[in-house]
Amino acid sequence: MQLLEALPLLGILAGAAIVGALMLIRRRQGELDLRSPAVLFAAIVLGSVVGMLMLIGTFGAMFGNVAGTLNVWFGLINILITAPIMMLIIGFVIAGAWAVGESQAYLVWPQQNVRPFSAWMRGNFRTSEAIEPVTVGYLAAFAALGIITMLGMISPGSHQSSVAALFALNSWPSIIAPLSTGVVTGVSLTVVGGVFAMTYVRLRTKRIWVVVLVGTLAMLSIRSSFSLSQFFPASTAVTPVVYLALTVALVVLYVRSGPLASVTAVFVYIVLINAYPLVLTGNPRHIATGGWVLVASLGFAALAVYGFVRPRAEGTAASMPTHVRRAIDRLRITQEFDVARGVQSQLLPSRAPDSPGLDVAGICVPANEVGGDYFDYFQLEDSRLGIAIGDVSGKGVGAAIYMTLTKSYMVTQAAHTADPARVLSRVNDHLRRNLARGNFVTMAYAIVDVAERRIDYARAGHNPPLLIRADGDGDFLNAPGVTLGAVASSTLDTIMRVETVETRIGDLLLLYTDGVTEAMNVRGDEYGDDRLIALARAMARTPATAKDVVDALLKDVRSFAGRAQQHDDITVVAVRFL
Amino acid sequence: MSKNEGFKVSRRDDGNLTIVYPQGFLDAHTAPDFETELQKAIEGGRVHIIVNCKDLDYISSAGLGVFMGCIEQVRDLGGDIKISNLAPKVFHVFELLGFHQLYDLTPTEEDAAGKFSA
Repeated sequence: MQLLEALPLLGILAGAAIVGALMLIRRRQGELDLRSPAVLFAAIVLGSVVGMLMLIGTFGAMFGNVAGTLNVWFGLINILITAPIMMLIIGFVIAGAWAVGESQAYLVWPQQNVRPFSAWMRGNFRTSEAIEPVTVGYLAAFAALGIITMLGMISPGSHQSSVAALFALNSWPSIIAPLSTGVVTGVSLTVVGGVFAMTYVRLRTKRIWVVVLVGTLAMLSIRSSFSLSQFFPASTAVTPVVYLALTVALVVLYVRSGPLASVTAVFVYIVLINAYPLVLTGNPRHIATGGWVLVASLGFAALAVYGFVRPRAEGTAASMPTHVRRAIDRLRITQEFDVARGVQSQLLPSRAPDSPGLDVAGICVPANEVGGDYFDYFQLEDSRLGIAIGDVSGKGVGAAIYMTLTKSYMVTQAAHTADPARVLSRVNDHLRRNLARGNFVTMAYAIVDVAERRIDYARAGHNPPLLIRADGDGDFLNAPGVTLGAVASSTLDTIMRVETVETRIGDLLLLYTDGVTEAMNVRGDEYGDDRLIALARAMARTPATAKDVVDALLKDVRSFAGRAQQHDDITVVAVRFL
Repeated sequence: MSKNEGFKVSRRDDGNLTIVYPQGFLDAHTAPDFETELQKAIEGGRVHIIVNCKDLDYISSAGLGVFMGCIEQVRDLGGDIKISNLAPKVFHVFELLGFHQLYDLTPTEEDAAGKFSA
């Protein structure tokens, strides 16, 4: 029972911790604006203090209902110590949710929906974009009130009272209380439930029903006062159903029309539901108070009309806060990289070549979004198979562009040249002309002739391929050569030589990039040639398929690297001779 | 935290020779510093350069690219860059790329200086 009572407190503390952590992350990314959250925090605390003062004002009247002095003391302790602390924490959660949620909201909801709310939260009411969401908000509130009123009429035992009526003896809180409750409830529901919770869920899922579900749960847990009790006694079975329906409706309103619409709807709903019981009392003083509250309920409409009639002349881009623009830029870059990654992975073979007598498997695991590693298969005449593996110097986008260039040269040259050294030499010509000085491409190119049982290969500065016999014998293939792009082909041709090796059934040919041998563990040790050849020898002795070999090598490299981050692209091509 | 933590480069002029000392990790982050030092020497008309790598612990492809680009540039100007005192691990990387067949890699700074006077 005690645990159950502590749940809301634990929830608020957990919320504060999550929001605090996210604020630190956003701050590091330079996407945190603290000015408008600070104003929001001050406004919430101030509003709560005013509310509490009014409560203390009526405290005397409540004494009669309290049984025993002890409870009075508990009540006082609650009001004077616990409540202010809770108020500060709740204020922090709401302001923090706004601080971290605003820029993210721009990423997932239509920007024209978020923009007017952002503007209002910064005290800039001169925006023409507010008129639509505010109108929708009023209409939604009227619809909800209409339905609730009809239900109240048909629901037996329903009664009408109001927060305002509680202060009816004192006319100024009667006006202030519904207005401040309306604004604070509207803003906290919208900011915590919508701008924060629903936005973060929306970032992770495309399924809108999940967003609506989470938004509903979040808003219910904020335990806003929809003041339903004024129309339905707490015991009525209908109450939770209506309460749930209203929350779902508010969530849908948020999704469709944005935060300003949902704040408006809650504000108008709460103000009106508090105001017209006063009017209905028939007491002239109460009617006057209720009338003023009704007039005040038009405040949002007045602000929206003012903004519509006299908008500040500035572009929409200029009105967007800097930290929001940064967040949008970051997302755009991430999306562009996703596209680039997709395009690049399409340039690498997705399927093994269909070569009788050969079992081939290859994979490239980039360290970043895009990489400079390259491998390719070329079906040549007389059922020979060309296998190329390459590594562009440097990393990232530059390397990826050069990798694309290298592939196109290889595709054109491999098709009509049978000599691997000639192919590499011609590719070198092209690269020399097009790479910026200081860039180079290492490449190994092997032509496998199954019928003749031989491999002709050339190595342009690339890690030497491995050829291991079925008995585990074998070594690196170290033909002399120089990396592509370093020197003119006339010089390259004097150094690079084609070597030929005979193949037997069961042989394992392994091509790889330095991402394998230079994979580092946390201590800074490299995976190295020795581990590579040991694994290759062990695998060659087994009937492992080419894919088994690739998988085993990747697994071994990963278990060696452990928690160390992959810092270079890893590419492996394995061939088993059947 | 400095982005070039773990890399330093210094330079010494001796007659018409310029000796450059890279220290630590030469990778994509630190390569620009190394290139700047070499370019300063080249722009100052110093084209007989020795890069003494006794304190070079690691070199990535970006670092190798600096060597490649600058050597080509200096050779066009009638000079050369000799590379000395490579640690075995770093020498292996130069060797893999075939650089030992293109550039003078010598065991000591004196050997490199000797290559210039020869």
